[in-house]
Amino acid sequence: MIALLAAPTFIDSLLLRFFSEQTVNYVIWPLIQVGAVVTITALWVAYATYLERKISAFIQARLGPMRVGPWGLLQPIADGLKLLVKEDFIPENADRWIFFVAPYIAVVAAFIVMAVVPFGPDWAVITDLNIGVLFVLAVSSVGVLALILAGWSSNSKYALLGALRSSAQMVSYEVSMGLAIIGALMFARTLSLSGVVGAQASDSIWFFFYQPIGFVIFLISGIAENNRAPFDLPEAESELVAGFHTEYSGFRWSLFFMAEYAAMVVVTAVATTLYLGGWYLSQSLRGPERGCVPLQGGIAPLFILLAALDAAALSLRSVNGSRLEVDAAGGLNQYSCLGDRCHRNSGARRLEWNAHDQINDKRTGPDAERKGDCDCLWFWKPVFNRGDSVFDQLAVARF
Amino acid sequence: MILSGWESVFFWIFSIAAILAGLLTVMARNAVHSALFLISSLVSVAALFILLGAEFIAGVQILVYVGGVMVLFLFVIMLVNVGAEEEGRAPIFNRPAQVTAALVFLALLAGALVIYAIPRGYQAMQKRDEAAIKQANAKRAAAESNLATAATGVSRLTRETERVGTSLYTYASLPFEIASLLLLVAIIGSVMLARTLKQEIAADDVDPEVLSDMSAASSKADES
Repeated sequence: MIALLAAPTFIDSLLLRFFSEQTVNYVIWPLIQVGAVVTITALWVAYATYLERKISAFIQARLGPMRVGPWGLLQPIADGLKLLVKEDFIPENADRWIFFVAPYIAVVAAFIVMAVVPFGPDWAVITDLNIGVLFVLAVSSVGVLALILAGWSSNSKYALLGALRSSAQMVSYEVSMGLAIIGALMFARTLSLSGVVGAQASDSIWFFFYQPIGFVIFLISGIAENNRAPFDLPEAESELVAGFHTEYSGFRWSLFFMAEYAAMVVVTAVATTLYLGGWYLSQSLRGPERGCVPLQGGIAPLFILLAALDAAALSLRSVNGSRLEVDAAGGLNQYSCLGDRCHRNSGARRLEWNAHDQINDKRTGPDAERKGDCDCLWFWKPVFNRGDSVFDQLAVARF
Repeated sequence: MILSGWESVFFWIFSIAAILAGLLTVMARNAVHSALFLISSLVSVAALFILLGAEFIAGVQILVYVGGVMVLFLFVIMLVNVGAEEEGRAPIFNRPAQVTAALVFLALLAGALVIYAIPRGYQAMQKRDEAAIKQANAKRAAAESNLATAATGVSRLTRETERVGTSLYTYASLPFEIASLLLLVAIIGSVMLARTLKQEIAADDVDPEVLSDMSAASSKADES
């Protein structure tokens, strides 16, 4: 943290007193940068989970995590500690070695992309590869391997099917993602991410305005790459338990979660770099010298985009999950769901109940039969329209 | 390619890793382990490409082979569930034909090593040509000084990707297009092979002769 707050030139001169210029340039500075970026990304990952829980709670008129710290702000840390000390269970027939390694592949593949993302000019870039964009694509395609290996090594049908679904989705959306990236690259004429930012700075325009459709496609395929809300079919909890990480527990499971959220951060960071000008805001907002000002300017759109993506995913999920239904009796039902746990907001419950009973009384055939064993089964059916028996049992149990 | 310092260290690490992983690919009993070792071999080769200054090829190697081809390999292995080979502990090494072929190639390789490679390498090690190394380093520095500086300020960006693209579309555009056509043909062919007769009839995509033959065959079967 001291490294972030102090002026880089000062640290540079301080370091040069103790080490040779080569060591400072190629070993010590990169280590400081990597440390800073990993810390920031990990913190953002932790608080993305907090934000998700909080915002989805607000959408559903709940409070969300409130117990640990003010407004539950320390909740992610408590979660991390809990997962760290939880039992780490390996299934008996699992391929132990691959089962052990898969989460690490996932986390490394997610975090390592941050190495080429430029956060600002000069010292705020860890490395500037001349194949930066290709590196991003290549590493994210390695992330698919982690899912497959995790699913296979668990020796469980659910995990295997989840892995197949996830990886098939990720591999297919990589194609559209690559094509969307080419849209921005045509204007940048370089594969280096710093070069892309530089091209936008010299044109004084974000590539978003040249390629709005490309940006939208990139964002959509980015959400699909991360198996997030509208594209979370691979982790369909109602049928596959949890997808590829069904058999994982404890810290290894949380590594998968970290990888998922870090991949979200990475996708938004790359989207910002390619389409929203990266750290470059506008000519007037740039600092007089290469230094701290553009760095802050650059992080802002990244976070705005992250927040927007999170909110979009959540609202899509809540559109998916919470429904306002006007039924035949004219009553208004509001249902809110998170994942597969849904509940009907209790406001008009009594009234609705009576209305449904009345309709039910008039019905004949299968619904009349069903009324005999349980009212609520009929009641839940139209909400889900899936006819999926596990869920029906759950709904009955909850009522 | 004259390597010095850390570059040669990385060269040895990755080349030995590539060879070992290649060996383990062949020797692993479990098909998935085999695929994993193949992946590590491919990644090591990609690292060697980076040492050669061919970053684009390295990136494409990982993107296409590790991210695409090997993922499909793993898909197929998992779905087909190859279990027979790993269950039966049949010895792999003592079939006479295999052993003979391996020994012949081993002899050739050893001969080439002893007669040509080792004496030459030893000579070069005896009197290291400092002038050649200096020349190569100067040449590299001169080539680098024309390149744009990277954003970090301590390294330079090569233009290899641009060169690959230019030469691909200037000298090799026809083979490139032919290759893409070949892939298209392969895709269409696999779709055709995978389609069953029932699906073809449903899509009304069957030769009338085939259809009449079929109905004749089925009526014959009915009669008998």
